[in-house]
Amino acid sequence: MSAITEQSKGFSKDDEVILSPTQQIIIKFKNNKLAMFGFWLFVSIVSVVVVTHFYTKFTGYDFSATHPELKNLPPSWQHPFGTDRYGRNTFVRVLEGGWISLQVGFLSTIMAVTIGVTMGAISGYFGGKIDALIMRIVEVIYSFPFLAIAYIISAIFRDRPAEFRLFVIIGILGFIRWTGLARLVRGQILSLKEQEFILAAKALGIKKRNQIMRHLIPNVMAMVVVSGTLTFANAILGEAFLSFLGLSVTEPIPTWGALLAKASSNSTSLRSFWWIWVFPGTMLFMFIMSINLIGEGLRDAIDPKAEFTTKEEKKAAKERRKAQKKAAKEGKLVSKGGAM
Amino acid sequence: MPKVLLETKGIKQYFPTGKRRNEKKNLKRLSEKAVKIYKNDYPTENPQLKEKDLLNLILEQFKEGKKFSDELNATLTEYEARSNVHGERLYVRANDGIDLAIFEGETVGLVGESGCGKSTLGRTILKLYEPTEGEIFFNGEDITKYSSNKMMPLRREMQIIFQDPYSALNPRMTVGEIIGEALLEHGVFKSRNDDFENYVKEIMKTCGLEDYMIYRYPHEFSGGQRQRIGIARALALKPKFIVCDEAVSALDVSIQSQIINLLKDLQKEFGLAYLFISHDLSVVKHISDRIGVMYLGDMVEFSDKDSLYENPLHPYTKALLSAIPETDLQKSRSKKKIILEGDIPSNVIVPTGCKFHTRCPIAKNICKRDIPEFREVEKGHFVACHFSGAEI
Amino acid sequence: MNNKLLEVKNLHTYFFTNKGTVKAVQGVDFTIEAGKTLGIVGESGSGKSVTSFSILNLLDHPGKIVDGEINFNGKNLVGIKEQEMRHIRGNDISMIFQEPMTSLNPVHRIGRQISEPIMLHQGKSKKEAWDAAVELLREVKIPNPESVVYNYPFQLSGGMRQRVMIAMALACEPKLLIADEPTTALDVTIQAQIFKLMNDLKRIHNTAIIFITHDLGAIAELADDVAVMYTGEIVERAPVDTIFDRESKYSHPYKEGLLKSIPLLDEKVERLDQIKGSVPHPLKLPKGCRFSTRCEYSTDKCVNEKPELVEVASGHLIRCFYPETGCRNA
Repeated sequence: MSAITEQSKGFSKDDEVILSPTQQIIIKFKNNKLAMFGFWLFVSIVSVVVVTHFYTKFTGYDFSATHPELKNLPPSWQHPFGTDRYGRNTFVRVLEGGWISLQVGFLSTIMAVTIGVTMGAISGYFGGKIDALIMRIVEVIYSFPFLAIAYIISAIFRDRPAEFRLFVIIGILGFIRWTGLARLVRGQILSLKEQEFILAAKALGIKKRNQIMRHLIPNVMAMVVVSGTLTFANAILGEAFLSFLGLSVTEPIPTWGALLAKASSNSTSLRSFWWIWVFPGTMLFMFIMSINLIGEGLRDAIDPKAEFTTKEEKKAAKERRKAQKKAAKEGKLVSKGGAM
Repeated sequence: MPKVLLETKGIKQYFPTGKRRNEKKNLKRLSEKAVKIYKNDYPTENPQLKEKDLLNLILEQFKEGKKFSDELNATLTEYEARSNVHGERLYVRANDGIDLAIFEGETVGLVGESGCGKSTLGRTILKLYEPTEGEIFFNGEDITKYSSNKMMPLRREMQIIFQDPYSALNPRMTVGEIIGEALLEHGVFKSRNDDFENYVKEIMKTCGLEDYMIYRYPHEFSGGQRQRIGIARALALKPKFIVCDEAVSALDVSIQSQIINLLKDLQKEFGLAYLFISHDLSVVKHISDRIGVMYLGDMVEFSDKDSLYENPLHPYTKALLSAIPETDLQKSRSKKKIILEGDIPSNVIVPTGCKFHTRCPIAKNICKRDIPEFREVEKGHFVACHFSGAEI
Repeated sequence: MNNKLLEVKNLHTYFFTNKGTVKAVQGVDFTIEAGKTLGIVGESGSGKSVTSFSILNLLDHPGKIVDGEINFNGKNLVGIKEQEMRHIRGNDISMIFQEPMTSLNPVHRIGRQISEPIMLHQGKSKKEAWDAAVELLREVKIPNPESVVYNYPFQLSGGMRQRVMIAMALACEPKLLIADEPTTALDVTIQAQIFKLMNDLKRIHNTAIIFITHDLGAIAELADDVAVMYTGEIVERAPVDTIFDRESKYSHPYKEGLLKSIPLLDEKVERLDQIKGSVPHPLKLPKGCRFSTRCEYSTDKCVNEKPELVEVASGHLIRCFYPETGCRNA
């Protein structure tokens, strides 16, 4: 009898573990093979870049040291990625080049997300004139010509040290990118406000601050994470683009964009010394791709409609299918046998 | 006589939706016509004036009381009327002056079709929307102008249960958090200690939920169980008054009766008063003591349930009652069916006079002209109809 | 006696998901004659909509008909080519859905949406089809159809849209009309209008209707025969008078519970009778009788063995070991 009542409730006490929505997202993400590939690619690139950076820092590796006798060597065991026209080791330079990209990506994304979420949340929650004002600001910033601004600002700070210029770049990227996020968050909050649980919170006498912190933000966060990943990828691409145009950090500090720019500066090196541009290009490509894969995976994972399955269930499903096929085969055999 | 718990006086709830813009063509036609007649009547006066200035001149003279020919007078009157209407702000008239009193421990049912403003009324009473006009009294206190801070202590007394068990619960909070949130917010419990958890479990048990569900998330539950969570959340603060906004409409039949029984049990146990809003008359009849019928933002009939069902006076109530599909075949076949023509009108530009006259089978001229008064026809039986009780 | 329009025999439709096989429809049988209405009633998850989708072969990916026959006019529709099926859909069988807004294309005029299938299936010219559309709208009692054909769906109210849907469904004079919860989204007074319209149309055109709903009252209003479904099976099938006869000698406990849990207008009861628990999860169906987990008369036999659909009286089929109401141990 107790078994019956248990079943009728649809749950039993020793039912499978309780999964919070966040845990579900993680499971779904883990089940997505492509996303996991992206994730591990991302982790390995980041760790290699970070390790290289600190290694060169502590050993005092001199990026400006030139070795004219080693100039333009093809890849070999000593120089896995070959050397450039000053005889510098491209391997170290490529790995170190990611450091700037990472810094720019992380910091500008954090900046964009903070401003974007705050502005979007204020705009969506309060509405009315505040909303109109913020949205007009967003529209103005949205229509800034990114490249022209970057060019001008970079030109103004031409004489400043490289580090300072780096932060300027981060600032520009972060400032340009928050608008998209703000729009997204605003839209989400507007639709959440229509949900009855927000009204219920109001009826329960929950304070405004807690309504936003406990009910709105957690429900927007998943979306923000996805969008943040894509912002991250965009920021890195943006920085590479600026470096390529020589508007970012300058020699001797390497960045992927600057390395590519060097290679493309004359057609001879593009044709004869392929290793100079293939390696930084590949790194940049793989890094951006890994981030985009993660972003796509997260997007699928937070979609509540997408069905999710645990590994055990997948295995079970596979076995069931096998068993069915087997049974069908046997059935055929039997029926044949019967006919004979 | 039981004490009046909640009272509303002339509640109006208008939501602005822009301006009337469709009179421009008519105005232009009328002005051309007026100028033409004027030029015909007084060919010598002001021939040099342009059309627009001429019209202004005529209008000025007209307002000062100058008499023109009949035709011109009529045109000008119409022009004035239309230009007054043009650019007028438009409102969705969700509630158009509602008086309602709810006694302690009783259930008042509200029925009506979509767009009649029954849900809006329920939410306005709880001050989830600011009323445009009118007064709300709770326990004799006028709460109409209360700020949200001043409302805080009253929030413990009045609660709401929603229709959609899916959007009414925050998907990122556990059941325990959902039910207990307000307890912490109102300082009933200082922290999430054992007492708090026991109290939440107690409430859950009262609502037919098991202890172990406290750490689960809403997505793991079926519709009926989610509705129970919603009820538990409302009940946690031990309110005196709960608005049930279509609380059983989205549930399957077999679950619906479980929830109705639960609501009735809770009412007995805690002495709750309900405002039960639903479009399903048979459910409302079962659960309510007194029932109000709403149409396009107006209360058209209000009475205790027996006299409403045995002796409906308003033609709309009669039509509603006859339209309910019944499972009792003999009765349903012998019953006289009143099928209303047409659709529910918009509640932005409402019909003149009695709002129901566009669909009413017994509408006369007076119905188009005069708004019927909401009056007490028999003791405790209010109706707003010029021909209340007339045969259809 | 062979005027069966549609005969569904032993229909099994399963959904193969990663979590397991959801047996949405399991062994459903019924027949419909021309001009009759079959009402299929059940709660959410009972497989009533899946049955109708199976008939029209509209099942999406994980769903598949694994067994059974669907004979329409003597032709088996299971495993038929998509092209042939498309010809039958709309021409011989049409369907109306619950939400008329989402079933109409928002960017096309009403007239175009009605006339297009007429042009396609009956080969009429554009002008003829347009005139036919106006006629159809007049037939479903839409006021001034000449101007409504030029309207877009958003300009019409819910009731009007459902009328347009019915007009579209009737465009090619189908022999069978499948109505899946056609009035659930509508108000009571509008619902009454639609019921009257459907009853009139049935009489005039002699169309057979499969009427799917969760609302027992609506079934009583429209159906000639009723099939009550629970977790993918028909648990009771009978003419409408038998189903709603409260004094009937035979009945299924589930249907009995449903009838008792609806408050009646003219009855005064303190407490409604209720069916305990909720519909079992489709992947965790009970071993024996599907209803045994919620049935108040459940015995060991019910828990362990599966009852068959048995004809207890002429035309009255019940899937229960104890179909006689008097002989149960309460």
